[in-house]
Amino acid sequence: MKQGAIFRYAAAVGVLAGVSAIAMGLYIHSAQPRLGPSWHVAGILITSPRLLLGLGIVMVVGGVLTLWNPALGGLLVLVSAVLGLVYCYTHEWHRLDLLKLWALPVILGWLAGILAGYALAKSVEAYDGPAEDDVPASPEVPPPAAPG
Amino acid sequence: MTEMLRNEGLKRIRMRLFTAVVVVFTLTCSGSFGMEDVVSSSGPGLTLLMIVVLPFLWSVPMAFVASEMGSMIPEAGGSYRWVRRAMGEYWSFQSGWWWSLSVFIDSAVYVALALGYIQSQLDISNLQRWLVGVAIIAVFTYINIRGLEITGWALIVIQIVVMVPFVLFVVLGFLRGTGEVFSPFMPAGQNVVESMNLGLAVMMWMYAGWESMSTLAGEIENPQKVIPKALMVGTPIVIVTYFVTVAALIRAGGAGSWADMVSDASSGGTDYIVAAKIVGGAFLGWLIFASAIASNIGLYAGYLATGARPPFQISRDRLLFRFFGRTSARYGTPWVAILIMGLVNCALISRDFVALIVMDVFLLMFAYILVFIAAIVLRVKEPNAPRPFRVPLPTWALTIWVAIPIAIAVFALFTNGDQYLVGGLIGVLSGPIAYLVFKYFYHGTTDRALEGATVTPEGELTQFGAAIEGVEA
Repeated sequence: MKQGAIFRYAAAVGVLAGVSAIAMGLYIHSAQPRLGPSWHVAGILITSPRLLLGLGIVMVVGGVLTLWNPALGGLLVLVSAVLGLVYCYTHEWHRLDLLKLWALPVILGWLAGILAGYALAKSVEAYDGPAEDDVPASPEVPPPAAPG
Repeated sequence: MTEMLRNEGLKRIRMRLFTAVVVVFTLTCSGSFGMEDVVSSSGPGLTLLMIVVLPFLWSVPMAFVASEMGSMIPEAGGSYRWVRRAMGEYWSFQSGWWWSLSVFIDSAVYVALALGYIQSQLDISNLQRWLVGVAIIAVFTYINIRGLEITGWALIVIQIVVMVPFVLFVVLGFLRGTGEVFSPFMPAGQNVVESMNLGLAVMMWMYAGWESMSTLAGEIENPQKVIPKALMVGTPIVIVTYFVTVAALIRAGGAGSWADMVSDASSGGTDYIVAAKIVGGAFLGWLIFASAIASNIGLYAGYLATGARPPFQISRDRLLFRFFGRTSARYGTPWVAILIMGLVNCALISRDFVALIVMDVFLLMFAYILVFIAAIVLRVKEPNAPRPFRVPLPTWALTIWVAIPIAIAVFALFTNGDQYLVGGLIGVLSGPIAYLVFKYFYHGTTDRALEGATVTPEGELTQFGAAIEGVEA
């Protein structure tokens, strides 16, 4: 499979991860808006539905961004998934309930990250000498070409 | 600093088979401390049965696969290099990252366990405890930087301290003990699955580490021959050691003591130290106590050596901080990677790192799964590549054999509770994140001229970078 095609799959799966997180956020907002104690970050109350919705949006943005910058886009999707898991981990008494909500976004986010990374791995530079920062810079800067 | 690739800058030492077997024994056994928990949760008979049967389903496949791939690709970094050749840069990074992260955490656990034993008998403050831990880490970091020769000697001395008390304990345990070795088979009122649950998880841990020695292949003469031989000799020794010492424990503990066996009996129950006092008095108790400390220090020294090599190789492939790839001009060892591992261990032992330990199982199991898959992929992709050691099975049979430990590994992921599941997933997801970050900054590199040029068709090791007739560069 070509690198460009894998990037597109990564983007699509990343967007799907975000959409699933948003869907789960909307569902839990209506079904059980106070599932587990909330996080307080910089004066903002982060409840389970808010986290799902917020990180879901970040995942969608990350998924779209993967088309232009796979490393950054993939990172946004993956870090969002990890934050969701950290939220689950820190809520000992509701861990499994929260994990059920986060399962699909995490799995899809992981898959998107794998695809982004796998596509990037398709372009590996052949070794052609020491890395640039090892090669002493040339003391002489070539003069700019004369116009015309 | 001139950038180097792969094994460049490493110094090979001549390692005798005996030393190599001691290294394997240290990494996979180093005494039987920890087996007490299996006896109480699974029952005496089932524990001994698992000690005999589990290796053939779990650790022997890994020992054989590690031997085959270690003989085919005997390079520093071990499984990281095997997965790279089989499945390319992305999965090898995942394999190396997960394995190394797991070993960085594990090695700190061994120091913490040794300190726990010391603190249980000596009245020392937390600061003194930490300072003792730092001293242990500093000594073995220095030894490791000096090279594998001195590390090998250190491990031999440590294993003498570990095993001599065990020999005495086994003799006295069978002579003076009163416990029934095989009875009961398992705890009353439990079925086999319930009895195996915790016991299996602990025993998988006890039987892990067979792939570790291959990470040292870049610093041993003729690793393609020495390491597989050491693994083949070490495997039965480890199984017999576990069986005999656990049987002696059950007998020495006395009738019915199996039910309250626990790996740390400082607050009640029976462990090796308590059982030793029963059959050999306080003197044997102190000997086993010293053995327990030495066992954990030995494991630390061994994993400090093996854990530093994959990050070193990942760095050489331009996928990690450049300084990890530096070697000592004097000793020919990856001194920066070893030193950093020691520093991380110093930081970890000063605090409660339960949250990190829960990641461990997932990290190691995923790394193992990739190693097994890589073995099959290489059999298919490179069926005729030189393999001085070859598992005596056709590829289809090997596939079935390695499917068993893969299934056990997957099973283990879900048997430790939700804390381990969620914590483990966080650890595993750090792999793809780290890859994207380091790929973005360092890009990665490959030296195509060296791929596949490690072992000659006659099974001899080539010099690094040497061209081989008949092998296409």
